[in-house]
Amino acid sequence: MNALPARISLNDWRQRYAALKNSGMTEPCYGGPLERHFDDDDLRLADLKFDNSAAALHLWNFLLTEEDRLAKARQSGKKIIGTMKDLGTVPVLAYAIDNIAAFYPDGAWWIPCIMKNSDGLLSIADSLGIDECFCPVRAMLGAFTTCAHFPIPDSLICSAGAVCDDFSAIAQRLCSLGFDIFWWEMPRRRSPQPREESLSVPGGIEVPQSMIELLECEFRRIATHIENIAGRKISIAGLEKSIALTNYARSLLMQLRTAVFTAQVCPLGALEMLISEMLIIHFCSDRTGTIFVLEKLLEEVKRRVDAGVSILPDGSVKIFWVNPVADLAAMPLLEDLGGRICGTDYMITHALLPIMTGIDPYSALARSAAADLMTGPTQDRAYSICSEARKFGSEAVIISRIPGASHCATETPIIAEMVRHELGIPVLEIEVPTILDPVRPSLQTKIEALIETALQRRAK
Amino acid sequence: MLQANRNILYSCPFIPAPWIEAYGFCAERIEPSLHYNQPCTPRQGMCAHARLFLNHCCRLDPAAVIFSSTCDQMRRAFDLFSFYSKVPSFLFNVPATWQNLTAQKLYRLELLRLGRFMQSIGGIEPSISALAGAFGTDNQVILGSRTCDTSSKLVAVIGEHRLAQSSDLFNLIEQLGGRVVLDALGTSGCTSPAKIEMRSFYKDPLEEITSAYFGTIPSIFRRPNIMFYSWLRNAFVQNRPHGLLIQNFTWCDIWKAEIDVIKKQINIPVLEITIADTNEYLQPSIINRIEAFMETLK
Ligand code: SF4
Ligand code: SF4
Repeated sequence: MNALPARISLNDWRQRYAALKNSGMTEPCYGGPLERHFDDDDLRLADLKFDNSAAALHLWNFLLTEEDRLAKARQSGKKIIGTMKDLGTVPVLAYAIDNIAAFYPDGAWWIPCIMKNSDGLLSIADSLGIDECFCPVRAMLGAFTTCAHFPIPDSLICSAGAVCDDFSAIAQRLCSLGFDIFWWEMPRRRSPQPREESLSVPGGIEVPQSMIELLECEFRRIATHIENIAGRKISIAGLEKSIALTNYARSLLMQLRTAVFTAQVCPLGALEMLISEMLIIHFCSDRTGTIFVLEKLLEEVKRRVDAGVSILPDGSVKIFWVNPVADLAAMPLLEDLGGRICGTDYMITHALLPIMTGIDPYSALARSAAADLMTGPTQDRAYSICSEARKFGSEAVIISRIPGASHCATETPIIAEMVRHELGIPVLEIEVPTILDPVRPSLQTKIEALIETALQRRAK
Repeated sequence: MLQANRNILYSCPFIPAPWIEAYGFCAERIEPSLHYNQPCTPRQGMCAHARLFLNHCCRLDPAAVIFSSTCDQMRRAFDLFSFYSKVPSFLFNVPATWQNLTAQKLYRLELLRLGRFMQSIGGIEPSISALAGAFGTDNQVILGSRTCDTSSKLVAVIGEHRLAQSSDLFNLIEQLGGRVVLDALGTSGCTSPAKIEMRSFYKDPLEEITSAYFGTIPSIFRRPNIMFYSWLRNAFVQNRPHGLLIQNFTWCDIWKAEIDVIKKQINIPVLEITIADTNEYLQPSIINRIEAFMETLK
């Protein structure tokens, strides 16, 4: 049953769910009405606006049932690996063995928002001295302490080096709480010097060959560690298959982004797009499930694009959004105020790009990790933002600072200046806290002013 | 062409000063001054030390500035500096991990790259004997305990960085009847490299430098940071302080996250003072806290 696309509340989803069921909608095993997640204390859901498609329903249900999936994986005898910080590459290695499930405990970042702080994770972090000087990832410390939000992994693998201080410091605290961590080195990416051998990485950046060789050694070291946990070997064929499946999932997401960001009118909301991007980093502990969800979303979007239907009023201003928001409610807020997301950099751009094939798979993983824009000069990231914003015809850029994050203070001015200089479009810097309600009026005023400015430029 | 000003500024203990000197420059380890604090660099969220270091370097006219990647704040301070300043700058990638060959190899490669950078700004690649000459002079900086009265209030002071104003802190402790038995603020203590063994040096200088610096300095940023804690325990056994004062900076996650752990590891009173974004080093509230802390020491 295909109703007109719309953004609806959690409450509206009761009726919509019944209607979809009556019309014969079939669901995966994790299916069910959305409000059950609210009953499980995912309280922020009541304040959001959701897409009304069956595909979006699958997406949300898939996202919000990850804990059950991990518990089942453990029951079935699989080993669970907590991959940390690199956001996108180590899970590809882990999924090369079928008795491993890998996930990012980093995802606890959003628990305080989703549960509207009823989880108490930030208070636990506070009590351990990890206060609001740190970004929302401090919730992870609380999640490990309470063991309430994900099964404690059999092993933790964390990148160190060119990473943020927040994560590195909190991961180190986990060690002092008795959690063993396998650390690997993520060198800071730099440009090759004149006459230095170089290789290109996904996204087209050139990096010194020596850096890729070092990273390749690190990925082989990680592979040995995973093999020891799994009690099985990672075969080259298994790894190549894992890369191929990952690339397929990434290609679906890329098609989805292109379809949504380039459509005349907006076929899918910012929130569903944000969640879709987040799925890609570890597939929400189920790669086949991720592929199913993305295929359904892509089908829905294509249908809507062909029909020329939108979930937002015509003429919404195309916004490029930089950094993920600590409170998901920021995305519907932008749409309510006349904006539409056309281009994103949620700090995981490397996880969206296809992993190279036809080369040694460890070298391919090394190059994929080296493509992480957060590990290199801010100028590289700013340049990428400019070129993506240009590609999608963005009319303004919002840089959403993350409270407490070690990188925001220094990278924001560089990105803002380069965007203004290269594209000449307005840039807005905001900070979105875990629950934005107390700052909603000021956020609203700032975003309204940006939208107005963009509309005036459009009229000229 | 050698730059007119031959000073190369840096702040990280993993950058070997003799390596810089051997290329014909003067290595100047910056202890930033709060007097150069400027509002032009971003404030909210930027570590006070990284900001002070940037501001300090902007006031001088060096041949180059070397940053290091020991924390995200300094790594990104380099991005800011290289974006806005015309002064040549270099980011030394100090690996955070250390128990694997990759990390050691990376450190060695970075030494060589730093050498090439210095050549590009007029430095001259040293011969092995010139290198040995530079490293042969004592590369250890140990301030050790400070002479003082016979007070029984023995204090250890630790922290990542020394500021130009840091002597104010030591003077205050002494005025309050304390004696600093362990001074490990920035340029000493836990940031000192091992002594270079000249016999090994002549066999493989890079290996020996790597081992003396990267293999020895037990900084808190290292992953895992167990070397730091074993250094701390040893230092406490040797110096038997009655109280520990930790000097930290606003927005420094690396140290802040460890304060509770340090407190648990040692069984003596601990005071953390946080240097904020002001022009005043020891603000009245900090002085009050230090006074109260000194009172509690036996
Ligand atoms: S939001 Fe930024 S500071 Fe926080 S964990 Fe992610 S990268 Fe690190
Ligand atoms: S005080 Fe901390 S965050 Fe600041 S530069 Fe030093 S180590 Fe980095």
